[in-house]
Amino acid sequence: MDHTLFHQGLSRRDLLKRSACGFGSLAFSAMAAQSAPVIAPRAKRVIFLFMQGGPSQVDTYDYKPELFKAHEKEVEFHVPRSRKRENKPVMKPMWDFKQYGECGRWSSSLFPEVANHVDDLCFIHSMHTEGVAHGPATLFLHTGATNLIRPSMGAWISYGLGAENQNLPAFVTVNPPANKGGPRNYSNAFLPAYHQGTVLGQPGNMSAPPEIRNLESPLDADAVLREHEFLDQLNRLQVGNSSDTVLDGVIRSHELAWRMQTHASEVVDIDRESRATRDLYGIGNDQTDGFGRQCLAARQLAEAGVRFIQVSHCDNSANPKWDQHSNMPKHEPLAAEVDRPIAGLLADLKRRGLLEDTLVWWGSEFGRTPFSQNNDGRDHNPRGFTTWLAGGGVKRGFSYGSTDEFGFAAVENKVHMHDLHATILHALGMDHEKLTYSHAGRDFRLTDVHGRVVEEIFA
Amino acid sequence: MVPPRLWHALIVIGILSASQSARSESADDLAFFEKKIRPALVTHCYECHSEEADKRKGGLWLDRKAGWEIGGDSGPAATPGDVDGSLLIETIRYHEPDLEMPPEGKMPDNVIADFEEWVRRGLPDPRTERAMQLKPDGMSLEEGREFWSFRPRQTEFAGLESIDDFIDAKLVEAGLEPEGTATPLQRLPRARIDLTGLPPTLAEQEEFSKDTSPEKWAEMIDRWLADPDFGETWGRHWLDLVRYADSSGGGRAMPLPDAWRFRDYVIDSFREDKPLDELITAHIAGDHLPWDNLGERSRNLTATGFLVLGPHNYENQNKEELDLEIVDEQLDTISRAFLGLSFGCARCHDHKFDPVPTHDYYAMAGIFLSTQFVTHANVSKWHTEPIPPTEEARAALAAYEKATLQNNAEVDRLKKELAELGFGTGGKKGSIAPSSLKGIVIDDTSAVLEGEWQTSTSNPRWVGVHYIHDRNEQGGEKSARFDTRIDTAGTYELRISWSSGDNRSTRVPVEVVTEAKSETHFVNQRVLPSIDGLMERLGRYELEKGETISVTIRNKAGERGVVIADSVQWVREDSAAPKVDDPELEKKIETLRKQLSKAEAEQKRLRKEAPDAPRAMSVVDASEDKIGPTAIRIRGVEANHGEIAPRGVLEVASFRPVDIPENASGRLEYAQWIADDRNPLTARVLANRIWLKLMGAGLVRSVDNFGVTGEAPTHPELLDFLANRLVANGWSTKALVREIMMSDVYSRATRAEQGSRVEADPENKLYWRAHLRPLSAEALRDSMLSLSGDLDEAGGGPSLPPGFKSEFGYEFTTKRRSVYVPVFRNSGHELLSVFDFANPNFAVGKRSRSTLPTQALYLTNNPVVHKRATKAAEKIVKKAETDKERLHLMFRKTLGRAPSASETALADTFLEGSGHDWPALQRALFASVDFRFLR
Repeated sequence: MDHTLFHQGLSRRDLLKRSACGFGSLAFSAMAAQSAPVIAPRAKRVIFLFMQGGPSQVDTYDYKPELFKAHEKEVEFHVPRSRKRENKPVMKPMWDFKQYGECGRWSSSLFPEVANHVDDLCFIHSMHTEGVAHGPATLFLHTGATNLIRPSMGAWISYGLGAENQNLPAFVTVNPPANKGGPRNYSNAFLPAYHQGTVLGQPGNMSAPPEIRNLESPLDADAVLREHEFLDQLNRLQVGNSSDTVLDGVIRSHELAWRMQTHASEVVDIDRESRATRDLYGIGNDQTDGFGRQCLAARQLAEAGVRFIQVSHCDNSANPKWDQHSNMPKHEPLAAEVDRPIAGLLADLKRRGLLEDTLVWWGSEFGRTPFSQNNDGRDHNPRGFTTWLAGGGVKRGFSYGSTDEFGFAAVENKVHMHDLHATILHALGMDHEKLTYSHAGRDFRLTDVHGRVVEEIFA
Repeated sequence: MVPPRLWHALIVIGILSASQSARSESADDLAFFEKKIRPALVTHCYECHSEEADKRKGGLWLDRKAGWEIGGDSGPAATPGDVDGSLLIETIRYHEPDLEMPPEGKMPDNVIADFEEWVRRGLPDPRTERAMQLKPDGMSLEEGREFWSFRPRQTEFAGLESIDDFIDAKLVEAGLEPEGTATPLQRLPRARIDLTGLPPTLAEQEEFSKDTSPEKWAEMIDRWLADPDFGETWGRHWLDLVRYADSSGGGRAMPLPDAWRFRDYVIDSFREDKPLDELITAHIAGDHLPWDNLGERSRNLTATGFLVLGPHNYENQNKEELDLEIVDEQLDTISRAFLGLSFGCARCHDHKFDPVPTHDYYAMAGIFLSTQFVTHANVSKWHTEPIPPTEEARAALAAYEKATLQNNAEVDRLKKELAELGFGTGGKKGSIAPSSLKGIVIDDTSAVLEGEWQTSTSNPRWVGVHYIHDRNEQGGEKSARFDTRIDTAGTYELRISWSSGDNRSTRVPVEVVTEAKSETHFVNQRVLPSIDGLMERLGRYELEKGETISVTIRNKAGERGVVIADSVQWVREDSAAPKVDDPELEKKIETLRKQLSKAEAEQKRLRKEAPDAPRAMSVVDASEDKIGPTAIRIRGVEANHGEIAPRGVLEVASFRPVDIPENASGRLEYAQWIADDRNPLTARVLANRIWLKLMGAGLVRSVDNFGVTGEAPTHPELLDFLANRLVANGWSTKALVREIMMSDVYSRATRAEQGSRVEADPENKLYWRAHLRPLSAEALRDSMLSLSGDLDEAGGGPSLPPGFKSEFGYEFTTKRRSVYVPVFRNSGHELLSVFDFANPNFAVGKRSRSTLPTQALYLTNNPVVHKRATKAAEKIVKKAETDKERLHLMFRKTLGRAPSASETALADTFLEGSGHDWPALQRALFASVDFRFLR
């Protein structure tokens, strides 16, 4: 298959027409042409706040009084790691829980600022997923497969909707984790290459400035312009009167690169924001500066029309950030790094009217066990955990599903990661069963043969 | 497709249970069903298991009696009277995480109790009006055998005798006139790059301009076929196909330090033109092949690395699933690469389109599961086998051993000598009681700690119960303070102890605060302390009676390495021992210590550089108790065992019986079946792959898919002709490459001007012109390196530096040919990734061809391109004198041709406007379409 940006078989005139849509929008037109009723989109874009490593649901949002009563008692659990029933000592949450907002949703004291926004949040307490180790679970979160090579959710969304802004890619990931699958988590796999996530900043380095690779020329502006024009003319001479669309594509790729070079660097520009806005995100404060800049960049990208923006709270150590197998109290400084920036992002999106059609998604590859590990830690738990959504047409101050009395396994209104994927595509107006791509003789989907749209969470 | 025997079993069970339950239904039972069970089924189950919802998940219908009786893929859903033995009850009880229904959440306890009661009553169910529909998916065996790719190859071609005959016949039929031949200076780079991956030299351009005869053309092609670079270029095509990489991928992306042996094996095989049937056989069953010498044995084992090179999540905790994932990947790679089929779907269900039933999938999986390919642990590891070392390696090993022996003896001698003088350097592992030491000893148990310190006794030796370390975390936030009060005034020597080790900090601040002064010493905790390997002297202090002094060990922000705190010792001068007052002895000790530290450094280096006995990634048969057929896994779930599938091959393509021996895996028989001259798929698939690489499009355009959903061949007879030629020439790659390159159609121009031909055949399926092909990522990089004079032509050997731990953050600095650049599954080389390098996670027959702004940005802005262009331009400026000569030379070297008149005019204007910026001109040529494409 020829993955040219400008599809083969189109004339130059077609190309000019197409350029109005920018980064391909083939799938959308293909889907729109189907007879099935089109789902009314509630959101135009997604901002995914990825907390790498697995924050504990029972210490953050899933309030279980039973844990305080059963503290240090041995209880039988079907332990995900050993895949056996075993007696394990229950460990109570280390932080106090309180009800917040008009809705009275519970939050621990780990996220005091985000807690002030609970009336905008929609909690899903009954998440469950695949993979007990970080690698498989992280890949599953991003691609819907633990081992097989599949496109990232952002790539599917880029394929399905195309870009809103012809100068920018549709899928951008800011300082993504370099480990636990690394680029596979934002790869296009078998989808055309232009759907892969464009990296801003540097994988695994939260403090790297968010920018696109090779966007800046080492030359001065006059030389850049002179060289650009010369190359353009040289290429036109060499193409001559050939009707090969691929060659046209080369000329146009240089034009688009030129536009990105001159415009995209302006899209993400922390310094052009007011002092008050930067403060809102905690920029300038040592603890929150790194993640605050990422969140602000996410808002700027959302404003500029990027469809799927991922922001990652991660690092490159062997154990991911939120992976407290021992020393659960470490959750506290981690939460402090993100609490202000996330609250700032929500407030900023809201006051600009962007929250209406932007779906904000907070979550991780899995949760943690309610029983202890290494005295004061908790182990991985794919069987039950919490994620929250905000904006993009979801119910406000709402909570869906629940885990058992220990906050261990999802039992009521369970939402599998495949279901969440299906639901997010639905919010964007796409039917997860119809968003398919033919590869190696078969039609592939983000949700494989699974997925249930959780209609109940939409307002 | 369910094998006939299984259908029988299912139907028989259905009939039996139907007759049993019919006996026990009473009016009360039926009322119970209507009141309790039907509503619950409608509410909780019909969404996924009813005809109304058009869903039959797991093959199970629950909207009719026959549904639960016959059951789904996992067998009958319930057995009358057997509550605990009914699958339905097990799943709704939510007892096993993999078997929970309904998936959205557990039903209320009273509903579960109702279902239990229903089973106890014998499953009364009046819904008998609907029967089961049993229709297998996919194509039948008979239909499959008639499909073009499964039929034997044609051998009679009605007078057509050459490649051009077949191509021309179709063109005549379509009434299309082919393009003329490309110019000599277009043909030359095309052939040179196709065969060696590098542009033609000026001398070659000269040579071919003077003589463009077919004889000269053949001579040059033969020369390049014999060039070692052919192995690197065509070996790389094969490496795409066998998804070669130097790291495992998956979550951890572990380095594969021995993968390079396989890569070099492939390159050598193509250099030597190893027959492709033998190459495939060795890939799958090299360990079973006979051998004449140890070198051959090594190569055969190395070849099977093919089976363990795949991308895997070795940390998967479900090891049975991991085994099946690896085997699935092996089967899929083999089937796509050599047979042009995808078996993958048949793991869970009969292939929807192709005649690949689940039964055949597990018949083949049984062969690979009878093979040792992985060793399980928390993080499992691919299998390796020792390979016989070469002469050279043996000599190196012997030399190494000799050096080690000498060095060890030297270290022992020095230690002994020092010990005899009373200055031992070490002691046995374990604790030293503080009371056995002189002076005042403050152990870490009495220290005042800030921050978290971890206690440890892992490294020898320490004072008191343990030592403590900072976990190498939170630099600047941890400290251990050792306070003491002096009872007797005097001169004191301060010493501290630590357990040394390689991971320690080399600069640990030790702050000493007395009433007179405050100072900080820095100690290197990687070094063994000089007193008994335990204590190190820090300095002398005049201390007053009653004075309180404190010694604080800190972990410094920004320092790397673990910080140890163990004990602090204050020894008054007259009690210090053993005191050295003989200057000559002191000198001798000093010399011995220096010699020892040198010998120990040498020892460390030797240990680090110990040559491993060479091992290759490879497989062998599993132990005999693990050899045998495996069970079909229903819906692909590893724990869901169905019928046993006897080992075998793909039935639809079985042109002869294949006997799998009982005491061997069967890989050899399987490999021989694939590499058989008569296999309908293999020769066709490989001939088509060779054609693609030279012609830009396969005769079967879906080169990895010769199945029903793939494309039919544009020239079926030519495909069979080429496959026959391949087999007849002993599966020689070079012979077929030569034959294609000598054809007229290979040398056609790529020109495509608007006109009737473009409209009649826009995709050029009839090859009326040559396909426009982009320069591969490798040729792009290697050409730039070559033109700048930077190309390092060394070939072969390990890809990864010694001690390499992780691909993350790896800096690609090599200037060797691209085929030797390490291929990481999670973080690729930037240029190669940007220009469509093969995804090393799949078998890739045809690379994607993208034209993206990221490529444009790379070529115009990346500093590496700037560097290469500047060096290439400097060479040209030095070599030629006038602007005209320089321009000419640059075009000839970069594009293999002189500039046109309009290009000359354009370049002249640019040079004038830019102050003769030759590097800029070179960059523009690197980014121009005539460089990026084979025109």
